[in-house]
Amino acid sequence: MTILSLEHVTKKYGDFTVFNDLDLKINEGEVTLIIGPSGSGKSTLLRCLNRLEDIDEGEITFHDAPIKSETHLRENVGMVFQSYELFPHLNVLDNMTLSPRIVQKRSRKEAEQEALSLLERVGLKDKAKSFPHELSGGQRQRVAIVRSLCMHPEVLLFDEVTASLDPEMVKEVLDVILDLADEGKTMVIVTHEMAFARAVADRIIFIDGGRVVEEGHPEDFFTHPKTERAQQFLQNLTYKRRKRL
Amino acid sequence: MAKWGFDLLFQGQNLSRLLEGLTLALYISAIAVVLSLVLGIILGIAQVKGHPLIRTIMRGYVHFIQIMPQLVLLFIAYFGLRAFAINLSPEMASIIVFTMWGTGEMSDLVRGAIVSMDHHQYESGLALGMSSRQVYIHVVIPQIAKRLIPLSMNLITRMIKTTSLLLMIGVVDIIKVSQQIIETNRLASPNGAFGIYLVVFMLYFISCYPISILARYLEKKWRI
Repeated sequence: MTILSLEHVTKKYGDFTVFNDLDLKINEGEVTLIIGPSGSGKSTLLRCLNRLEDIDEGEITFHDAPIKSETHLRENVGMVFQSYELFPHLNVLDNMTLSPRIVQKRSRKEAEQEALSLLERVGLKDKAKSFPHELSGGQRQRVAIVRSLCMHPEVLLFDEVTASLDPEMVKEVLDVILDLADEGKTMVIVTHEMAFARAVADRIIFIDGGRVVEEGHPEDFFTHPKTERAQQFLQNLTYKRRKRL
Repeated sequence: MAKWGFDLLFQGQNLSRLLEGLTLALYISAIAVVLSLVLGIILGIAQVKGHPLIRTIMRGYVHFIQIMPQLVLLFIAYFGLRAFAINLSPEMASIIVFTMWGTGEMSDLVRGAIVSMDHHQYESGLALGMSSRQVYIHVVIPQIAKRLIPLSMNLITRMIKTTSLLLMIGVVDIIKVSQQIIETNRLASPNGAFGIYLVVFMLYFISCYPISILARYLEKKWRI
């Protein structure tokens, strides 16, 4: 079942067309990985899915209907960003419960209970009262993920969530996402971590120059890419020494 | 003691006159501070969100205020405006000038605090389903306030200190009172200036130091 779809979407920045007449369907329970060279519009595409970016033409539908309002869409389509964007003036618990309380009008008690059980799940229950600046980058990203989950979104978007982390913290964050995939969460992920992409994806979408160049199952895509552009892209990710003593 | 002029404090009503002078100075700065904070916040927001023409005018105004010595502004307001048959009392002229100055400085602080807010903060609020208004109320404004409060406290202490210029347009503030006491007792207590001005120093210190301590404390506490 399709939850979210882009239909004939065109996005421009001034004269520059990021993508033109693009179609994309996000199906329930599916983990969709968007990969492609930098500057290919991956992040912009992701940001169009929750309307953080305006679109110039086309339509975004949610459960096969035009979206009711941007806030309604965003309540149901959570997003985690590359930069640590927890609210620095609130502790972890308040970061997580702010939106459930003011947007969904849930009680503080109920929201806090859920937040605590989510924190426990990602091993951060003892940090509930800590402020963001007291946490490591990996811890902050884990909080950002569970903060999104607290809103019960139907779809979660991840925009290069490990790109600004120290290498040793990448795994703790990606493990959380893998866990969510096992649970059947619908997710759309933009990442540069190809090993992770291959492990977590149900479907790979390779975009370049604002077009979907190739789409398919991760094993097929990584072992037998059909298009030359994808072959080239994957080749650039592997290293080979010509000579060895 | 007599040699340094501390005894002058206890002659007649000298001490209470000094305190009255201080009170007047603090009163003028208090009114100016309140007006400056309110106007500064409004005009600071206008500098970021307002019509381009308003922004240009405000930027010009802020530059003008920052470049002009406060004393010159006081002279213009008190003596200069008489050319247009506007006769302000010294106190009124002081309040107007201090408010204009404070508003300019405060609006610049507000503008800086808004501009320095990371737009990711705004977006992450939106991404959690908040409306633009909710993001402002719960995310943007609390962070801006935490940045602004220590800065505006520093502005308040600067304003209190600058009241020492007000005697130049005839406000009988603490400095003016000290001069009068010293002049009156020049023969009996030739070193009176030392004692009296030391007391003036202490009174200014007592007025400003707590504010400055509080500002530093809040700055540290709210450092993000």
